Amino acid sequence: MSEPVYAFVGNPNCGKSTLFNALTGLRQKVGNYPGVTVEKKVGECFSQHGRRMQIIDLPGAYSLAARSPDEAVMRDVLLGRRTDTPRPDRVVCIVDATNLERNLYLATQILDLGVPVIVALNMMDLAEANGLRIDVAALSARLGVPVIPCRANVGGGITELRLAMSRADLAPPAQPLWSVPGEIAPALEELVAEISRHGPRAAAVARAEALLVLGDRKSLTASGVAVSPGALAAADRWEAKWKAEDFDWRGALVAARYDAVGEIVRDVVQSSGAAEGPSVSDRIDAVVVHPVWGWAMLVAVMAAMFLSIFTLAEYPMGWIDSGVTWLAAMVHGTMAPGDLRDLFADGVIPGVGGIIVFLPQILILFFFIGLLEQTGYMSRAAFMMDRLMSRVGLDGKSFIPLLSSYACAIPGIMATRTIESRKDRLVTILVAPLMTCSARLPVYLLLIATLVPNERVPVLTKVGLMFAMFALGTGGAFFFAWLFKRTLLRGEAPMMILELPPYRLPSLFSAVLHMGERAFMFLRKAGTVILAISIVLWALTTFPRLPNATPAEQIAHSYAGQIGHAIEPAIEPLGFDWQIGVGLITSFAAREVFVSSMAVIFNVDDNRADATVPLRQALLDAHWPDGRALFTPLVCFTLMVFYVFALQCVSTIVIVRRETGSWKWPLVQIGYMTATAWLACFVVRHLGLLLGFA
Amino acid sequence: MNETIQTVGALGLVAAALGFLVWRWLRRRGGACEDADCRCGKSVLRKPKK
Repeated sequence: MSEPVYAFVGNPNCGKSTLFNALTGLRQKVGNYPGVTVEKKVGECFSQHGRRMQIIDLPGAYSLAARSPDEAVMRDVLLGRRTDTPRPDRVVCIVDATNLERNLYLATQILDLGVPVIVALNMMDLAEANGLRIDVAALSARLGVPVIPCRANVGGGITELRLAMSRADLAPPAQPLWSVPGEIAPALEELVAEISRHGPRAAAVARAEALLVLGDRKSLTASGVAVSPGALAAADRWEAKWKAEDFDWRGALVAARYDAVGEIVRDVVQSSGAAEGPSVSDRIDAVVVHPVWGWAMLVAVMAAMFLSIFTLAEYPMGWIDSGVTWLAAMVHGTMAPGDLRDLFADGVIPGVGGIIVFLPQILILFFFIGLLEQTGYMSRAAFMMDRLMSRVGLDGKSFIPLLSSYACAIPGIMATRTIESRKDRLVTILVAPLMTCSARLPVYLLLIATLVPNERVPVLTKVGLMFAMFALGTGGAFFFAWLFKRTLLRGEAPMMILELPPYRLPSLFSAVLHMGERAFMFLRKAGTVILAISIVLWALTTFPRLPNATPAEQIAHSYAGQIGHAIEPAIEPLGFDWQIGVGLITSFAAREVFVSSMAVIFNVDDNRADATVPLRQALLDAHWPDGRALFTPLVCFTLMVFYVFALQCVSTIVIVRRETGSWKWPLVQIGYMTATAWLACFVVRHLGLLLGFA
Repeated sequence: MNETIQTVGALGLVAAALGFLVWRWLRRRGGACEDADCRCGKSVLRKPKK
């Protein structure tokens, strides 16, 4: 036998990715909320005999009747309908021991597929804490497959699972676990025959497909799965007959399966009674999802997060800043004058250094997010937000994609695959980039530092400003979702069914790991894209040369200056000059490039040709040709508002094009976001002027 | 290092940076999604088949 292919399947949030990571040594994202995995992930591990085994981690689903694109991935891989993925030889079905009945529903569907199955009974510790005693041997005997108790979060049961996966004698269950109701059995037989005639299929797969055609044909055809026309015709005939007889065949199929599952659960689970009364999670939830205290908690958690960003990061930021300044001064002092020296001292070092200085703040943010994700608080936050989201007509399932967009819109947009309705998915994709992604942080942090220098205002003002930017982005996303749901993408607001996972103690190690991954991604971006853009931007500010010119005259004459001057008429009403315009254009590559651009442009100013100063000071010293200060508090605030609404991210545009399959929606997105950014800035600017701000 | 060599070196770095950005854009346009660690390269939002 060649390298065996295992599929990892199970309900959402049952620990599939944690087990996958433990076995493969990979670092697939995990979280204590449903919908973290939306695409299949492939990894490898070795059997106890050193044989290579391939593992496919599939998105979670409650049944094979897929409702959303991510669930369809699982169904299609298991039925061997994906051209890019081999049909798995074996399946590891991960079952949440605290919720055996619901999880076994999917497990019985998997067992119907006729492939060897191993059941990994995960979260055994939580089940025991809830007073549940599961007779593992009896469960294994009833299902007819090996059952391995696991505690994936602490590595419990991993060795036993690997040993079970190494077995050569794994076989599909000898007999079906449940019986198809008598009225449906002849129809099933006919459909199986039609499906087998249509194309080569294993008998069990044909039976599983026939059950899907009978039980939930809409989900199969909606996702483009080719079903045998003969089977569809036969299903039409039988369904017409059952309708005439007023027989609910779909309900009968589900009930028959649940009856069998219920019987198994009654036989193998003993409740000690400890679970009676509210659990610890229930008691915590009484406060955390309370209509008043819940909101207070949400605001407190966010405030604590931002406060730590500003206070804890201050020292490391100062060290990095001094390091960058020292490096630039050293290059100036040691290298002979020339273009290469200028490229390093005025382009590369301030450009990349200007971004790296924000690393400590970004790390602190992701450390907090990592902790919150593990505890299970994110699902509670989703529950709280659903009250707001349903009012604007957003699908409750939009919360996780929108939440992911706080880190980066790209995984957020990909996470919309969990949303069943196409229109709701499009609305979520269109508004996801309004959430405050981590790329905006350096821009906000620089502008807040320029707007409110440390010595003059308390740190809480900075926290308030940052909070305002997050709130403005979130509010904007909700407003536009409401608008799209009433205009372009009209539709009913669907009901959200959200699983609230039990609270778990966060692992400090995982949070640090999460933080480390983000640090790596951040530094990789700084060392590649931002480095390359800083080099190109230096060239754009240096050429064509103007002989005997001052640095200010040179940059105004340069290509960057010419581009900036060309767009200046469009941005002047917002209080921005051509130099800021250059930053706005270059930050299309990535929003944080604005910071690098400012560092490159303002480092070659008149009085500082040979000395690098902190960027904040350089911005404070910048002025219009008539001597007025350029970065006034009003301009800084207006710029932040611009970055709240503008779609300054080419990667997001590309991913929206890919996910929606056309250029229409990315263009709509660029159009509405840029127009909103301009209008909002115009209003802020003129209101500010009316109120007496400069 | 004289000024001409410095200019040639700087322009070489500028060309390399431009080349990198173009290469990255072309690769991304092809569908690979580096940030989300996804290699499916597929559009999953299709209109339902009638």
